[in-house]
Amino acid sequence: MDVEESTINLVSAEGDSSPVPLSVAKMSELVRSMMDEEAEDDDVKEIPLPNVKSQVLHKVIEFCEHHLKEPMTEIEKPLKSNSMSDVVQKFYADFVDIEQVLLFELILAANYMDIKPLLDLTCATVASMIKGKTPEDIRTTFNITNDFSPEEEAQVREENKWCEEA
Amino acid sequence: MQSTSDQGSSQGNSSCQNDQASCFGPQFQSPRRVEDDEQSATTCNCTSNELADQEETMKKKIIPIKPTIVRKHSKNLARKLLMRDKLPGSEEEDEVMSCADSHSSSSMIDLINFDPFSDVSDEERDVPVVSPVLLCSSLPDEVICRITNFLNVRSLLKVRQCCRNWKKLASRNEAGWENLCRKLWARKVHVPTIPEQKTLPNDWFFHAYPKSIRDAKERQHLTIDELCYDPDTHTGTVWSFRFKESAGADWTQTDPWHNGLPCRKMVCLKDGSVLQYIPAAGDVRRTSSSSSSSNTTATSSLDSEPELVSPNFGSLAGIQQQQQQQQPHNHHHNSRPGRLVQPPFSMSWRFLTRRPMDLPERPTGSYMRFSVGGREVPTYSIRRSPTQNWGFVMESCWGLYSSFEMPPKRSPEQQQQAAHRRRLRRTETGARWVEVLENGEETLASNHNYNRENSDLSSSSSLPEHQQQSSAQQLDDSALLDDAALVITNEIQWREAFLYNLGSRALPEGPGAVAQFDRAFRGEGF
Repeated sequence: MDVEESTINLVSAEGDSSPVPLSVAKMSELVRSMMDEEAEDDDVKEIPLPNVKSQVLHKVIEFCEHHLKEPMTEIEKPLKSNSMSDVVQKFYADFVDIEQVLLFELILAANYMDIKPLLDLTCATVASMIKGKTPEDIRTTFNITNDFSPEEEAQVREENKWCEEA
Repeated sequence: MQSTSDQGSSQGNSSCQNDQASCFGPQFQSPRRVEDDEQSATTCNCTSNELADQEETMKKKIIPIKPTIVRKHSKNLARKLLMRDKLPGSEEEDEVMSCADSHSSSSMIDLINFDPFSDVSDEERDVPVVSPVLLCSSLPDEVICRITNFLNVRSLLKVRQCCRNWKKLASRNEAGWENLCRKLWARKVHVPTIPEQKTLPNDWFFHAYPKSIRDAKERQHLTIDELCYDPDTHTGTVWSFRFKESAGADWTQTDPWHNGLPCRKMVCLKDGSVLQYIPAAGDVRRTSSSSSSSNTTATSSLDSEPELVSPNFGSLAGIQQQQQQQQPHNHHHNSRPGRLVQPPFSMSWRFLTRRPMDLPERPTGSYMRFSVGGREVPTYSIRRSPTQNWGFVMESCWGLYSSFEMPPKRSPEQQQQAAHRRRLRRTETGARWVEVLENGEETLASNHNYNRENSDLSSSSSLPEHQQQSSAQQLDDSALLDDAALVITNEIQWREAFLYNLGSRALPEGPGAVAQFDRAFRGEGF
């Protein structure tokens, strides 16, 4: 019964086509629903993903392929550690050990393609970069400019005060 | 910035001006000069809206953006998007990336590439105008909320301090506050409740979280609704009662709790009467746990009656259902209400409106006077439970009520063990925990682990959280199990106890009561 699983081509923004087993592609709810819609048509062989660049798509596929073999453990909320390796298996921790830009692109891709475990993993990774940091550190990490007026800033600090007192 | 490298990079861009895609390559903020008359101006990206449009255009494979449109914006934008910090590696990437890498449009990459200083003079650069929430601005709100969902309270509050947009987002229920509230409240017996509205304000939980903590910490008195039980709807508080050792063997010998059984249950009705509550047959989960390990005690103090209504938060329905789902064995007499019977001696209750003789002035709802068989017994002082579960306890020199199922009495062996742990010692400056060593010595205990509220807020402590909790839980229980850990003693309440024992029917109250008593006690007559 070793039937070759049928594949489908995911087409990146650049037009590059990646053949992917159906089971892998269907981890994306977007792909799944697109295929369901066109279930009548037996010749669905290509799914265009104009929002996903090739580089990112390859990462996404790598994730989905691995997830079928070794599903990712559910990430506990709130995070118990700053290190993703304490939270998920090694593969996944290594998987998100990437540059911030790529990480953000992965988030957008996971969001667009609707792949919940990947979205969880990437979002948790960003959260792990925030956890325990001061607002100033967070701004530096994510290149955020403090746009509060001094009064507003004082007000937020006041609103947050209960946490320090408790 | 007017260096040769500017020129070089600008040429690099013009050289690929016909290749729309390559112009969006990741040249991390390379300094670039945008001339109005250069077509490379197409590489300038503008507001996020425009950017999105631009992306849309490209995706639909329609014509590239007209340079004129971009040109119009480039100057404004350069002023708006002030990005000071160069990312590392920008130098080398200038030449390589501009053409070699053929990434197509991506909002983030575009934003990174965009050089806001291209046509801003040096003086202008020092004027921050509008914040460029770069990178993060390209994430949809719901994604940001998904990220913050993984944060604990402390970090979530730090996020609120970052910038205006994050403050707004990180205050939302779905940014994590609803989860955090439910988690926190699931461990408490007296919880605030979600109003039965279809739509809550979208930052309701953000405000409810600290409000509920503050209420538990600061409000030590009961409202009538919190005290009473409604026999028609079978809702309200069922109080667990046990005698203290100080009441004497006559009383403790017949007390179920002292015999290893679940506590006697009492309810106060709004008409002022007090009835005994007999749990429905079958609702005997507690009985089996009477000889329990500390494990089951932990559960029992956690999941008792969550019916208490906190008037600050409206009615209980929502959270209750939640809790029941989470805790299938939840002791919940609503589903199978118990019977109410007259106690052997008729009882009534009233809140003291004036201070009792032996205790300080406090708001109404802080002191309870029960009358048993027509005689008032020493005043019960009300406070939050030392078990940190946000429940209430009422305590006199002889008896103890808890608004939740009281943890069962320890077996003698367990008591032995507990004796080596901690005691609450009263000092002139207040009560504090001491470690009791095997040789009977006491050392001041650090309050760190005991303070449960800290673990509600943060998991930054070095101990793994489950350990923190279990040690806190053990301490919690002992706070109600050992009479020595309680507050109102014979020494404190001796006047009322004395008068009761003399056969007094009504105990005095009010500011002058002590002086009056003392005169009488010294034989000077009332």
